[in-house]
Amino acid sequence: MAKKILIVDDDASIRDYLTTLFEDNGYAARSAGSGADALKMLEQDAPDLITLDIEMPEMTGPWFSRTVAKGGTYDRIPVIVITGHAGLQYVIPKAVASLTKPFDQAELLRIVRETIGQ
Amino acid sequence: MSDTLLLVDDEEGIRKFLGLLLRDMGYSVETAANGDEALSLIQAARPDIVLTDIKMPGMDGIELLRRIKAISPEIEVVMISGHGDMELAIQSLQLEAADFVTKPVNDEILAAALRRVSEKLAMKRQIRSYTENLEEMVREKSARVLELERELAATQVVDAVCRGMHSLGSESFPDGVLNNLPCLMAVHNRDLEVVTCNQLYLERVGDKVGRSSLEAYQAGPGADNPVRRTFETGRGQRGQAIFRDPAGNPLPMEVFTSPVSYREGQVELVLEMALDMSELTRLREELRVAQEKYQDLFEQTPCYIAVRDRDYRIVANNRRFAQDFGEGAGRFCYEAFKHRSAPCPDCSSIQTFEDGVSHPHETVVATRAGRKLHVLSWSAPIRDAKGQVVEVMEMSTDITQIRQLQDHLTSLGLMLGSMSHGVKGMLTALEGGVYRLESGLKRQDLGRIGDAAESVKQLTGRIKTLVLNVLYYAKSRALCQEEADVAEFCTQVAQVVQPKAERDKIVFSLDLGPDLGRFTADLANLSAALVNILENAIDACVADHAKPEHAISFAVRADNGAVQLHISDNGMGMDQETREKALTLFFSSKGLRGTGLGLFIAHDVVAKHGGSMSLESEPGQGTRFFIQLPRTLPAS
Amino acid sequence: MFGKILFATSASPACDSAARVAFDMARKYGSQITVFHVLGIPGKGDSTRVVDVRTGEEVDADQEYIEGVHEELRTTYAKQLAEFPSAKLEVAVGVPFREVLREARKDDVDLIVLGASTRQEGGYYKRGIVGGTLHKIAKNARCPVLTVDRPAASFWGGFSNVLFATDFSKASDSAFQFAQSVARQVGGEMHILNVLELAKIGQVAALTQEGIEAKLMEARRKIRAVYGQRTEGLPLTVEVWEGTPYVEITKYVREKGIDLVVMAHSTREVDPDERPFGSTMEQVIARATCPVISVNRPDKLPQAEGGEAGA
Repeated sequence: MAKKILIVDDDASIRDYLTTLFEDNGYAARSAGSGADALKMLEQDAPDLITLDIEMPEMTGPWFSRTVAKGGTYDRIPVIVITGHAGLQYVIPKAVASLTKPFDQAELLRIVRETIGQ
Repeated sequence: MSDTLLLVDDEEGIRKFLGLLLRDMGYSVETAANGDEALSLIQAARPDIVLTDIKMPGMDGIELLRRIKAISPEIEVVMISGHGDMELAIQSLQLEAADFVTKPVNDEILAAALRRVSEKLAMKRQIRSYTENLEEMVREKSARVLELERELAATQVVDAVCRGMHSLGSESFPDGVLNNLPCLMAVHNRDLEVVTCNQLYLERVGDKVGRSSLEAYQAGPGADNPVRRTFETGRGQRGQAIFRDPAGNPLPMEVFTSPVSYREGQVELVLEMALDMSELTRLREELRVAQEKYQDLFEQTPCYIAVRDRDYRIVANNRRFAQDFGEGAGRFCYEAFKHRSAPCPDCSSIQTFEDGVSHPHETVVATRAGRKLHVLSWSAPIRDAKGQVVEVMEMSTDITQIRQLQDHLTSLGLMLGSMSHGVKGMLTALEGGVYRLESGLKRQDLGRIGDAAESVKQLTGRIKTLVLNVLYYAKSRALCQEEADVAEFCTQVAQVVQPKAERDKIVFSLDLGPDLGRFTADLANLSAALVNILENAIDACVADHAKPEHAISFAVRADNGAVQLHISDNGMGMDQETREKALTLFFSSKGLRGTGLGLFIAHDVVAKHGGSMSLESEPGQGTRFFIQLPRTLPAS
Repeated sequence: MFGKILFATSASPACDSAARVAFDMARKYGSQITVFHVLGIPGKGDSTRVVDVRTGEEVDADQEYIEGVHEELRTTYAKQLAEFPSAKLEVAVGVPFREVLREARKDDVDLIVLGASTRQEGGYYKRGIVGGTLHKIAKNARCPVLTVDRPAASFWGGFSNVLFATDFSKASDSAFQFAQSVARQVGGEMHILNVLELAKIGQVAALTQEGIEAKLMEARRKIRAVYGQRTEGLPLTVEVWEGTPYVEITKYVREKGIDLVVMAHSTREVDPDERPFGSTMEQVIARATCPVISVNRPDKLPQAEGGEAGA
């Protein structure tokens, strides 16, 4: 079964981009445009990996992460941070990687592969 | 030497006869006929001998003898007496006559008598001369003794001076500074001879003791000489002179002379001090060069320099200061520099007066012409010999332009910083679009290709707007004027925005009023500004999830002088804080895609056109922009 | 899992906690348990003179004496033995660690349970097992070694949260195998913790936080890369904490309610200068509130029913 990736980013173009990219590479990708949407999706169907934008209106990346952590179950899901700000690389405790926009496609895929396999 | 003789006889024949006889004897003879004549002749030319007859009418010989002895006792008188005048003859001897002869006059007796008189005269002369010589000699010798005495005294004085100098040199000035002063000293006497001199004199000039004072001088004895002048005028002299060293080389000296002792109102000894000029000259030259250098610095430094005293009065200022603030001398620094009537409260000069340390101070001043300048001042202490701060020099640099540049850069930096996230997001999305395009092509997925192409187009548009905004801000170009029809222009603007609005399902309406006419504007920039505002309206609608339908209206009206544009939307609206910031560099509303620069630029463009822009908004309801533009650009 | 347990004891109260753990586990997992005791250090040559553990006196370890020791063992563990009639009692004479290893090999046990000593120097055992014995046994045993130091580190009913503490060494791999196998068999949760030892990197205060965070992130990724595949189906929590290893492990155990810690025993002899308080393992044993199992070799790993066996 394909590994599931949940993409969280407020920019639709980026959501489209990542969805297409992951699907092209054999992952099942879904996206959420806000932290709230992402939480709903988590409950429906927990992914194997989350890519998380930090600066989002309404609910920021770290806030989403904390909310998830309180829930307990989803705390285990590895996170890859994708942000525009170089200074915000390490603000998510669960993150296994952090990439700044614009990121290197190949590197992102490699990290995903390392983290959850093919 | 032949004695001169005066023959006095009343008989002419005897005068003739005796006259001849006496001349033969070798005397030079004058004759007189009587006593009175004889006396006149004696007055006129004193004879050595007078030969006179006793028996004469008028004054007789005895009377004449008496008279002669009264006026000139040294004249020898020989009487000629007659036979039987023995008593008269003896009387004349008693009256100091030298001799007498009786008539008839016997040649040989006369000659012998006169010879005796001459001898007597000669002896008398000799005695006189001996006596005079003796007196002379005594005088000479006494003078010499006095001279020697004086010399001794002078030497003692000079020795004392030298000893004094020496002891000064070694005790009071441990390094022997006094001895090391390039000061030649010598003492001269009235004869312009060197009596004594110091070590340095010996070394530099040579041993001139006993020699002429003028030998040391290159100019030679004939020339004007301070030593001599001192003796002559009795006053100390000071001036430059060229000495001569033993080899004959010139030694420029500054000479000081002073009379040391007096005698009978005349200068006896003169002290001469000569200072080596070359050292002095060199030092003076150095000083002059340094002074010139400082003067140059003072004037050329591109700073305002003013020196003030403790009473706030300017004592000196440089040319630049004078140019912009007027000549400072005597004026209060706070009046000249800042147009104040009282001292500045945070005056850094006062601090410097107190602690003697430089203090910086940034402030705004006004030039004479009324121009305001931003300056950075440093107050530096100027101390006197005791180290007390007596004046403070204030150097001020004009940093107006730097501050402006800094402000500009700061806001540019801020802007770029706040923008970078938006930029990166756009670039990533663009990459994404390109990727989808490529992969779509690879898979022959037309749907994907179409989507991707649309995405790329949109993003490119956004990026273009952004880049243009940044460039506009960074360069701040001047406006270029073009004339255009208002309705046509607005329609073009609407056409740019229409497709975007439609894609986001926003109803967009353009409402052009009647008789809009023409106007002059920088069309490119104005168009960009309006597009910015309209796109902002679109974003506000997109971000608003509360209302099901959204609409944007773009209305244009005009009267004679101005064009009015209203842009309104029913998007998410702005709260007060956002409203206030909307037209500044720092506007970045959450939820809006923009970079925060668009509205600022729009406002700037409108302002440059001489127009005005304002906005109204209610959170959750919508926003309205009002723009007013004059038909023609203001004269800049 | 844990078919045969060898419980090496000094029969003194110091081994009481270890006894409890050994018997509780045997009860839970239906293990065959052997209680093993090694008599003192033999004298020179062939003589059977030994030093009695308790009295410290030299005695003659003849048959009679050994019988006496047996009797004592029976008495000490009477209660447990009552519950486990099949439990064996063995007494041996010799160097403790050698005898233990010999016995373990002979019986091919699945787990050795030790009661650790307090710091002990010298060659005699006074209470529990001689210091250094733990290291020697753990290093050379073919099966995992569980050490219980104090009552607080007891078997609390099950192994539902298993913590595998790794330093990415080769020996860690075997430990991981064991840990995930246990976790699977008990249907528990797997935790993998790596500790970033700051002191090893350099002057701690001079490190930037960014630098530390970057290393933490790297380690998190490495854990997933190295162990991720093999934790399929297991609830897995991955953590990397910076600090001193034994401290962080102890904290983790406390905070997360860990029931069992599995670590690889460091293969090197610990340098007393570098670690005056013993290896990380020894410290964790002394401080964690749960049993600690050291795994060194892949030879003897429990066969899970229906699960994967080994790499």
